[in-house]
Amino acid sequence: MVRLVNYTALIVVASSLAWLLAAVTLDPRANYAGRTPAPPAAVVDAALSEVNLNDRDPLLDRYLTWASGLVRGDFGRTWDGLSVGADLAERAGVTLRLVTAGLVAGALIGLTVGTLAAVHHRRWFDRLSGGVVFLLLAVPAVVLANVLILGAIWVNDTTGTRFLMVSGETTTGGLLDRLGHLVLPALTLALPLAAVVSRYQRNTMLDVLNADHVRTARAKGLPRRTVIVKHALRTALIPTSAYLTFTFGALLVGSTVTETVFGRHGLGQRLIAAIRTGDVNTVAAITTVAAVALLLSAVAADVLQRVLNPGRAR
Amino acid sequence: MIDVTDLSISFGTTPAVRNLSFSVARGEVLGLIGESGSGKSATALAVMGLLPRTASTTGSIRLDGEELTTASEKRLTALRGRAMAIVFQDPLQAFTPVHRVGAQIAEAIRAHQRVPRKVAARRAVELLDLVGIRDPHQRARSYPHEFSGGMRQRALIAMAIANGPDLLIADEPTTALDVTVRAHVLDVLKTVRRETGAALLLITHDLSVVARAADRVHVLRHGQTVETGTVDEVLRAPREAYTKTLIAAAEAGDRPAAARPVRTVLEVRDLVRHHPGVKAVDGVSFDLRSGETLGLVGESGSGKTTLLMEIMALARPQRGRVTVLGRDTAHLSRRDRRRVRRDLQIVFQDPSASLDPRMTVGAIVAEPLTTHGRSPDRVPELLEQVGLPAAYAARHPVHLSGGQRQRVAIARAIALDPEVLVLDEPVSSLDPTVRAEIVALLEDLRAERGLSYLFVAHDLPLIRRVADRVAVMYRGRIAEIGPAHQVFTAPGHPYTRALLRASALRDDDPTPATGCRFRPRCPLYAELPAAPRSRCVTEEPEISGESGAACHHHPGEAP
Repeated sequence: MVRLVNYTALIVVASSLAWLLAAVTLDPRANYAGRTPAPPAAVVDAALSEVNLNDRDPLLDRYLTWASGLVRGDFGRTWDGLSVGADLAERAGVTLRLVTAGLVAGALIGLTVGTLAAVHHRRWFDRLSGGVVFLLLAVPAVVLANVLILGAIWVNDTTGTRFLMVSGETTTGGLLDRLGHLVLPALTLALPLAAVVSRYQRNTMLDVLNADHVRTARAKGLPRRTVIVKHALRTALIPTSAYLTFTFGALLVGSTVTETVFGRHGLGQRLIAAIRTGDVNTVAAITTVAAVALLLSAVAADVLQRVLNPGRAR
Repeated sequence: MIDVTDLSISFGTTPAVRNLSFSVARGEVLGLIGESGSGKSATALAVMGLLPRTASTTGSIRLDGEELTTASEKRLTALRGRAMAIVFQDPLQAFTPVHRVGAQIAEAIRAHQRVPRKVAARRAVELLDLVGIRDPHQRARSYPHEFSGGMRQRALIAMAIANGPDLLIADEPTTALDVTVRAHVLDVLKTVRRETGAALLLITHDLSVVARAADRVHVLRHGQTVETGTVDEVLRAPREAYTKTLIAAAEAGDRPAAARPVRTVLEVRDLVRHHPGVKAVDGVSFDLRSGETLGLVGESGSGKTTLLMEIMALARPQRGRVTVLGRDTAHLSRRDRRRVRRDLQIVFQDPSASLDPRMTVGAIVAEPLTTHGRSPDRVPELLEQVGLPAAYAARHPVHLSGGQRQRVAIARAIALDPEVLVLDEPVSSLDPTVRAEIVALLEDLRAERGLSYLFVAHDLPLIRRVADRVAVMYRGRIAEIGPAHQVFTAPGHPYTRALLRASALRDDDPTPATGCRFRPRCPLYAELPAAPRSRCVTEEPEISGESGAACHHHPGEAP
């Protein structure tokens, strides 16, 4: 309960700071600058004041207007008068689906590869996966995305189907179609994540495999597989899962490149656009969404830790 | 039952065990004794087939006539836990932390017997009951960290005997335990042998454990057999010089009693340190005089370490007063605190943890000197004083043995010519012969420099040898304090008597809120008539004066 209050306070502070920073540095007036004929200053002022973006209004007044809106669930409007809330609601869904898919895939791949690498420590699988990991970490997302696209085209060509799609969320609207669109961008997010996770998992797993309790489990006469899954992997999941849940918040706004390459209109893309057009309210709203998501993942991490590590006093 | 012939084990090119042969018959207890590095544990792992892949073995290990060294992993898996079982040292690490204790025991049963879950769970509770865990139904549902050390060790034994093994290996089963709990665990092992008729291979470095529990003994050194025979033969009349050293290192001699010096260097009055939910230190008073050694003993969890940390903090305590060299720590200015730090130094238990692995020995010893603005020129001289060649200054701690590392830690502590040294279990992580050398070094330093020691240890014979006075701590308070010879020969507190006899006391009771805190475990209280008993319930016993026991009924006080 105390923690919930703390989290709420953190969200308020984070979004307020984001708004203030954006309000001080961004310049929505620039949107009118290049126009011919140049609109009269009074008209521009009025238009900007209308959407609470006028830098000539006192900062405190603007902040209070924004904050009171936020309390009512109103994120304000963009410089051209559109509702920020409605715009983001749609985009948040796009990003959320992508990031969730990427996170789940990345976690599963990373945990599996890391565990296998540790079990086959210093044998071919360990060395191979280590090499692939460093390659993945060295390649920027945009290159990875394009390599995946090339691979997808080859797969489509050789199988003669058009399952893997490279642009947008859907064309026909069917579930399978959506999946076909999701695979490539999700993999683009998942692979670098899996690379990092697999290294974490490999290292904790190596520690755990040498731990006394694993030796005890073997001494009981348990089969190797049971020892590895039930006594080693189960314990090694605790630190890795804590790391994983926190990457969710970071991915949420960090998926810009992927969204752009695959033509998905999500939050990351919107954030860049909003900074360009000086949309203080949009920038602040996206920050708020990210803050909420980050704290939700903190709660999720907490719950997960409790489940994985029962009976432990905190 | 088990026949080991010409067993040799090596890790890479380093031999761990050379040409070891022994056998243990059904119902027999063989004590395998030696210092760390003597190859005891490698032998145990070899029998279980649990040596790491880097190890190579030659020779023969036969269990009930079956050759184990060439057995397949599948066959070994079938034998482990059923025909042969092992109880490991350090029971905290030996259980998987995320599964309930009962479930882990039941898992061992189901690994070898086709029984339903429920039956296995019930059997696990029975086993916990057999090894003397009270309230086994409840306890089976606990997680390992919710158990005390003694309970975990017992649970580990329960798990090892779950399938009635023919051979039970106990690898240092009592090393991590307090004296009173140690006796308990050895009793449990005896019960187990009686109940199952298993052959028991008891691995330890502690001669008293062998003397108490084994039929025959096998002394190992550097992987080779030194001497073997019945316990009586080997311990009463050792033939080999090494066995004699081992026995001598374990024996105690009394310090001569002398009048107390007059100058007080450290005074603690009614010191209190409560953590949330734990009264770690709950009203402790003592004083340490110049040139004196005060031994502080007590079980783990009795508050010894918290007490030391409160003294070393040199800050205002929660309650009570700490006076170091005449200065009250509650009123020290920053400059005074620095000055007092110079005169009050500490040596920790584990030298590999208390020395920065990335610093050279020279840098470690020079650090206190440069911190206090003195010249590091004295480093070679200091190393020499603790018996290390000056050339060691260039080495890193990893390249030193445990005993050498502790010498470095001592050199660091005496670098600033302190008056008081706090020694927190300074030799308990060392092997017996090395231990004797370090103790001798500490004795020499004390005599040469007139140091005063606050010496914490759970090794009672050691304290008896080095301390002038002894304070026995129990759950945050001093149960008894006095001259060493008096405490050891005529103990006033029932707890001190139990400690000295190493008799079994229960270890899982909560501390009562009022009255004498030792009451639930007290053998004296259990026998008292109702009238004198009530005093133990209502009134916390106090020590008056500089010596005495915190007991309402000890001989020195009217009942």
